[in-house]
Amino acid sequence: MTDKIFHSSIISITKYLALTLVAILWVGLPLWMLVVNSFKPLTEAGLLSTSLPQQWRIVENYTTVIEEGNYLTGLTNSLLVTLPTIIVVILLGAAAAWAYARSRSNILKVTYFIAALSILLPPALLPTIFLLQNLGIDGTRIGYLLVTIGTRLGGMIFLTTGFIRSLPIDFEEAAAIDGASKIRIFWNIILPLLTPILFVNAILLLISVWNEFFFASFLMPSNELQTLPLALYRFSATGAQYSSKNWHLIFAHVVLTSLPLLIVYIFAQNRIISSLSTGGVKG
Amino acid sequence: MSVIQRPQKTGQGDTGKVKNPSQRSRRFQPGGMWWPFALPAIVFVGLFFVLPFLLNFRLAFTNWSTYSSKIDWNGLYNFEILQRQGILLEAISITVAYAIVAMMVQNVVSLLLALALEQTNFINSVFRSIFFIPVLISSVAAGFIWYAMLSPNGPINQIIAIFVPGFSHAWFGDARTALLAVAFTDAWKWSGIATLVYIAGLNAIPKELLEAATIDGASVWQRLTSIRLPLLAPAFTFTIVTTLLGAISAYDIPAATTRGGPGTATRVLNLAMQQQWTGGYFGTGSALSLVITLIVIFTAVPLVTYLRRREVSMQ
Amino acid sequence: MSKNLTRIMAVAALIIMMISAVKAQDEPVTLTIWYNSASPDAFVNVFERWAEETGNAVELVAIPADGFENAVLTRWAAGERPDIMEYHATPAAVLQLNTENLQDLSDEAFIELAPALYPALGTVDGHTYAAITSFPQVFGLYYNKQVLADAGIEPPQNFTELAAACETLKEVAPDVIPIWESGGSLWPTQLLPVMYLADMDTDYLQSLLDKETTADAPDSPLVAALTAYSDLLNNGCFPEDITTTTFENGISVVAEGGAAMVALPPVTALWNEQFDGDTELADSTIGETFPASNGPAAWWGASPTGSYYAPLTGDSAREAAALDFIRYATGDGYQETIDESQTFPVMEGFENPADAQGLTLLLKEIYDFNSGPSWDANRPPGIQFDVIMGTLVSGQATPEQAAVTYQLQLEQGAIAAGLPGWE
Repeated sequence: MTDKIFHSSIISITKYLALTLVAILWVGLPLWMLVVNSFKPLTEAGLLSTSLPQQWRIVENYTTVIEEGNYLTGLTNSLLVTLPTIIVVILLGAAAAWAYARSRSNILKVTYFIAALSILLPPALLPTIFLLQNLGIDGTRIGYLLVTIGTRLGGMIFLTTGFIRSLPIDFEEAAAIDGASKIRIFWNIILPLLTPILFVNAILLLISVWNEFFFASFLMPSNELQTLPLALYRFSATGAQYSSKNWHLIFAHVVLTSLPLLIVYIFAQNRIISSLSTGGVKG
Repeated sequence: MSVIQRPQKTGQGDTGKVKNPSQRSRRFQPGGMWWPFALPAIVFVGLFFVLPFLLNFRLAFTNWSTYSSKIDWNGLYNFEILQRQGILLEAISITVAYAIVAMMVQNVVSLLLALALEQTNFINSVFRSIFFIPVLISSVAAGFIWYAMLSPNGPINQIIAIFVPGFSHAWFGDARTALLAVAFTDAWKWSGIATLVYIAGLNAIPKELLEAATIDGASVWQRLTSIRLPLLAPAFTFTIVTTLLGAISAYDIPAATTRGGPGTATRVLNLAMQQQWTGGYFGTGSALSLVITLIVIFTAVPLVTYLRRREVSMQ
Repeated sequence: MSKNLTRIMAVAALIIMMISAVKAQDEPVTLTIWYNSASPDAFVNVFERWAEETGNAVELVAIPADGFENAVLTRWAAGERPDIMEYHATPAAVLQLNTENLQDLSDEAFIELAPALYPALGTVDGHTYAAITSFPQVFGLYYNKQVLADAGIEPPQNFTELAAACETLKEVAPDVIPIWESGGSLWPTQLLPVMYLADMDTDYLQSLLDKETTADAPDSPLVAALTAYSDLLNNGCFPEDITTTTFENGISVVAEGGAAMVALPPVTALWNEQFDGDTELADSTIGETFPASNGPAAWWGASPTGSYYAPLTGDSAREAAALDFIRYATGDGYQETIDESQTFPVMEGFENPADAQGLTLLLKEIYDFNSGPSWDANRPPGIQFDVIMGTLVSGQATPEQAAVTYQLQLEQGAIAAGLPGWE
């Protein structure tokens, strides 16, 4: 018996040693290389070595990025795009999901199916631009916002409808018998019950909209509207003409660009990981 | 993207779960009253997802360009000019190869990590959190990080050089390895999500089944291959389909690293589309968008059907 | 043309402009101006200086340099018209904008003052629609003087000498990379082939657009240029890791003698930076030569910076004010733009900036001696020559195959633009 315990603890020690090694190679090394080189001057960072800086340039590099890399513009724009998207998608998505879960209308079923398809089908970029041009809102933030909401709602509806179908209907019935209006039931009963799934959706939206690059680069070409990934991309290839890889500054920009989500993650990491991997979403 | 609970749900059988609530809710749901709740979402999805999707089928066959404000049908010209320039089939095969590599790396890594981190305890939670970090980093940033990691004097070559003295390879600069490097970066960025899906799938397997198998004397390997992996089928379906389809519309990582190069070795469909757009040939660009959509449809439908059938036959 | 005559004409132009400036003061207008966000301050300030001097107002709209052409053309296609617009001055661009939408500048004084620019640029069917004020980017081959001297090589004046210089360097100085090339940055790989074609007399591009020949024909100058490049590549004249090398590494490597030569746009400022701001050291270490297929010649690219169009807006007061601005920017206000931007004037009758250094003066010399726009400056936009060169550099295409791709992309552009003879 003790032999067996000894045996299994050997196995688990080996397992965690291996996991640690993998974690160092997979996550630790890239992030270390990133951060440590963002502290170095140009030529030293160009060596891409993982050793500590011989000359520290933290303040210089990061000030340069904030001043010349449009960091604050990017940060503001990312917030202005991400927060409205999350709020609108969550509210409209939850309302629609409730309808889809409870209604038996065939027309609604068809629209549900179409919305769910948008998880699999990639949105068509150039026709979207064509549409926005005809609506007169191409190249604007509102155009990008509308498109982002329209292409993200499907996933939200799909997740949430499944969740609501698994909820007991008794509360809603009781409230309806008491004469509560549908809006009231939605706001006072459904939304609170949906908190776990809404949290999951909000996290997924935050990650995907905050980091979105493809559509943003086409739909918001102007520098005043650029989000953080665009600011990083343009900073790294300024004009694509006379400069290219200044690793020390690019890395500093990468660090600053990734920081907001990482900070959110540090505070909410337990809840994010556990609700994505187990709880909350049980259908 | 996500969808963690689908594995658990399919296990219970599709029909029961849909019928049950609606039967019970008969008294509660007066038919037509529901549409005001769904309508705003329907408008958004209809206008900004469905309509562009449908427009694509028209614009791909027109001469829409910067040169003229008029848009006319031009038949198959867009596809023909792409093929004559050697862009069409090349970009399709590059995209498919990219998607397959990214999907394989991502699923193998995620499955191994999920098996190692299946139990929920403190130390595993720490590891889960660490392996999720790349998901938070934007693809553009991930591209820059790995472009540096895999550059000729970068850390990966330095590590290999410990074992193979003098080793140095331009992973992104060599036409033979560039696609691998780009697809790997894609897999690195997204593996964290698939890992959590697999963990959720593993945890949904009833403990009694595994205990019974252990009592019957099944080895660890037997339990894995004959119980856990088959019961993980819904999670497989979900991650394989989403990672594969996600990679077919790849753009960010090749744009941030190789910009399609060296030469055209990593010019995936969306990069080819971007090049047509830059040239002012919007119709030809739309044709490439349409190709992506068609590949997704023709991959997704058989794949989902096949994987679902396997799920059923395995249970 | 004698200097005196030029002066008289400049004075005459000034008088005309002063009269029109007085006229414009009658009714102040607000001009909307689209400018390239990458334009240096001196070329943005000129708008405001004009506004101050005339009492008019300007509304400056910066169009992002990244995706500049698309942004302008998309808005243009939607019917938006600024009063003044910075844009490429190639005839192809004029056609894209459509002459019906533009004020005809053919009678303006600046045209006579810059015979090197007009009618090659900004002109369609004998009518000129663009005013060019910024000194073009003259492309050449920078070299490390000491490295060439040590190997006993004169700066190459043509491509035969360039190939020979490479051979000599490989023998005499095996540790030195003969020609730095930047496949990682990609865009610099276009420079040498275009440089090869810089002394071509015939209007080769026009013959391609007129379907008289094709880019991949057996006697094609383009194939010859690509072959000359590919020979340099195969003979080991470029860095071994050419697919990842970047252009700014080239500057330091050539400065330190690790490589002998590098083809680049005018980057005097970067050389100075490399020598910690010591312009004399930069001038004495680095030289520049302009080899073409047969003899020294340079090609240049006119940037959208300081190239003005005056679109027709339907508002005659604003259209007149826009003309007045162009007269100011090419006359009265021009010397100040030159002094502020430290670039050379492109029109006669203006002074060079006071303290230009040796490396910049070389550009002005070759510009005056033998130079012209790149052979394909007027090509249909949409030809991706950098991508084509990428396939050549990475060994995916031969010079002939690369020329075939060029021809196909040219056809695509000609058809889209509806050029005569192409449907």
